[in-house]
Amino acid sequence: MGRLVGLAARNLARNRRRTLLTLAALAVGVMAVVGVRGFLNGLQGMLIGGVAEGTIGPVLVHRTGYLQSMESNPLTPNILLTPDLLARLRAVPGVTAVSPRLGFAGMASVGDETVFAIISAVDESQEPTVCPRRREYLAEGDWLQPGRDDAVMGMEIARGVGAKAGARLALISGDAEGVMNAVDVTVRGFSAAAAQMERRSVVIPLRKGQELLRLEGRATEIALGVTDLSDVEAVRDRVAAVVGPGFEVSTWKDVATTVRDVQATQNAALDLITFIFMAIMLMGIANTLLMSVLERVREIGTMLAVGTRRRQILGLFLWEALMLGVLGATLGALLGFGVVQLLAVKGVMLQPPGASLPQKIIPVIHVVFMVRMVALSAAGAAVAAVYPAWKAAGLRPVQALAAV
Amino acid sequence: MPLIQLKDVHKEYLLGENVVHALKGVDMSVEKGEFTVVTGPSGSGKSTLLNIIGCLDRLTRGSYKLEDQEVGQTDFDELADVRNHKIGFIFQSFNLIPVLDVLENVEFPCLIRSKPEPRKVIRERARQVAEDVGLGSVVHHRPDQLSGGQRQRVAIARALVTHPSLVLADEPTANLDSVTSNQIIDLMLKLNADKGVTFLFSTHDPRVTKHARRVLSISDGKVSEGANDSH
Ligand SMILES: Nc1ncnc2c1ncn2[C@@H]1O[C@H](COP(=O)(O)OP(=O)(O)OP(=O)(O)O)[C@@H](O)[C@H]1O
Ligand SMILES: [Mg+2]
Repeated sequence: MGRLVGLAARNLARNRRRTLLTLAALAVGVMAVVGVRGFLNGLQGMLIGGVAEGTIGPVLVHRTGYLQSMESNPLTPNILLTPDLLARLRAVPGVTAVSPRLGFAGMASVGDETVFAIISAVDESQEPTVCPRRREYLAEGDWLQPGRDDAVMGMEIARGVGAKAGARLALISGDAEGVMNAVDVTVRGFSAAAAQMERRSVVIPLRKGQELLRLEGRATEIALGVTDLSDVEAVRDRVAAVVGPGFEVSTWKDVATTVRDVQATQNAALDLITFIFMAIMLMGIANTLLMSVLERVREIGTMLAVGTRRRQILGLFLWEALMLGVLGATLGALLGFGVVQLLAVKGVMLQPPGASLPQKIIPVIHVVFMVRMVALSAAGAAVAAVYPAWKAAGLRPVQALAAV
Repeated sequence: MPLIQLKDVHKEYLLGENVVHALKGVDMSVEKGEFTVVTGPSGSGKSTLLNIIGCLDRLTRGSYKLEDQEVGQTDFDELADVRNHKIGFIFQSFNLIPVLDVLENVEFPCLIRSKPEPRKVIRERARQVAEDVGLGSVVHHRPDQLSGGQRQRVAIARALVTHPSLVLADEPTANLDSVTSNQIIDLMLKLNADKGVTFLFSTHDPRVTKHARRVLSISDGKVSEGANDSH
C-alpha cells in the first residue's frame, strides 16, 4: 500500500505541467468558494448581529398567543412582570440580561409635525446588554439615561419631524381599551437603521411606555441576552422549562424569519456554486487521469505481467487522484484563507437595502469549512478517478504489452 | 518431471470474421536449467507461444503444465502469483517503469506481493542481482539515463530477483546493436551456466541461435527441434 503511494506521487511529478494545471484549476475553484463563504459569513454575521444583538434580541419570551398577531403589535396578551419571574429568568444558565419591553405603534409629534412611529419601550439599563449593538447604531447623541424621560429616534423620522437633540417629543397611542393617551419625552439620540423597518423606530424607557399604554408593571415581551449567540436554541429550551406553560419562548431565528430566509438562500446559492465547480473539477481530474492511463498502457501491461493485481492498479490511480484532490484543495483553501484574512483587515463596506448607513462586513472563515472543502475535493477526485482507474485495471495484458 | 510441458497446444485469434490459427498443435517441453532459443520468421507465432508459456494469455485447446500444474486454461488474473513467483519476463523494448530508478525497478516484483519480505532483505537482494548483471555503478539512475544495453540488463535483473523457475525473453536483442546483443546473450548464457537459471527466448536473428545450447524452430504454427534450414 505504502509503495503505491510513493509510486503515485512520482507519477504525478512525471508530467509536471499537466499536474500543475490541474492543481491550479482546483486551487482557484476552492479559493473562490472559500472566499465567497468568508464574505457570506461576514455579511450574515452582520445581518444576524443586527437583529439578534441590535433590535430583536437573542431569545424572547411572550405570552402564549402573542406571536400569532405579532405583526400588529398587540397589547394583549401581555406579561405581568413579577420580581419572581424576572429572578427566575435571570437564573437560567446562559442568560446574561433580562429586558422587558413594550412594542407598539403610535404617533410622534414635534411642534406641528406628526409622523407614524414604531415605539419600543425598554428597560434602559438591561437593554444595552441584551442588544449591545443599539449603542453602535447610535448615529448621534446618547442612549437612554436611567431615570430620565429620554427618547432615541430613527434618524430618518427625526429628520421628517424636524427633531433636533433636546426637542420635546409627544407620543400618542391607544391603550389596551383603545382610549388615546399621550406622554412627553426629550429626544437625546438618533439611531441609524440596519433595515428598512427600523427607520421609524422610537425607543423610550419602559416606564414611559407603561404610562402611555396604562399597563403599569406589564410588558408585551421579555428579551434575554445570552452568553453565546450560537447556542440560543439550548437557552430557549431551558427558559421554556423554567417559565412553563402559558409562555412561548423563541429565538431570533423563529421571529426574524426574513434574515433566516436570506441566510438560507445565500447558503443554497453557495452550495450550488460549489456543486457546479466540483463537477467541473471532477471532469478535469478525470481527463488528466485518463490521459495518463492512455500514456502508460504498456507500463500497466508490464506491471500486470510481473504479477501486479488489478486492484493494485486501481489503487495506484485512485491514489494519484486523491493526491491531486487533496493537494489542490489544500492549496486553494490556504489561498482562500489568505484572501479572507486580507479583506478582514480593513473590512468591506456595504450598504444593505433599507439601512441608513453603510456597514462594515468582516469576512471570517472557519477551519471546519476549509477541512470540509478539502475532504469534499478528495472524495470528488476519488469519484472522478473511478472510470480511468477502472479502465487501467481492466487492460488486457497481451494487448497492453503490445501497445506503443 | 519437465519444468514446462505443452501438449497439442492450439491458439486461435478472432480477427473480425476470420480465425487466425497461430499455433496448430505445439508439443514441446523444457527441463530445468536448459537454455533454449525459439526461432522462426516474423508472424510464425513466437510471441504467441511465449505469451502462453508466460501465463499472459490463455490457449484455445490443448494442455500446458508448469511444474506439473495445469495452467493453460486458467484465467490471467488467477495466475498473478504464478507469474510473480515462477516466471521472469524480459521484453523486446525493456519495459522499465520510468519513474523508478534501477534498484527500484529491480525490486518491483517483490514489492507488489501481498506479503512482501522485509524492505531491507529485498533491497539487499536487488543490489546483489544488479551487481550480477553488471549494473553496480548505476543503481540510482533512472531508465532514461541508461543505454539500451543497460536497460535490458535492468530488465534481466528484474526477471531474476524473484529467483524464478523460468525466464522468458521475447526477442530481447531486437532493439539492440549487434555488439550489445552479444553482450546480453553472453550475460544470459553466463547466468544459465553459473546460477542454473532456465532461459527460454525467442529471436529471428540467425546469428543469435548459434550461441544456444538448444534451438526450437517454429513455422506454420508448429514447433520442431533444431534450427530450421531456411535460416
Ligand atoms: N491479437 C491478435 N489478433 C489476431 N491475430 C494475431 C494476434 N496476435 C497475433 N496474431 C497473429 O498470429 C500470428 C503469430 O503472431 P506472433 O506475434 O506470435 O508472431 P511472431 O513470431 O512473434 O512475429 P514477430 O517475429 O513479428 O514478433 C500472426 O499471423 C499474427 O498476425
Ligand atoms: Mg513477436
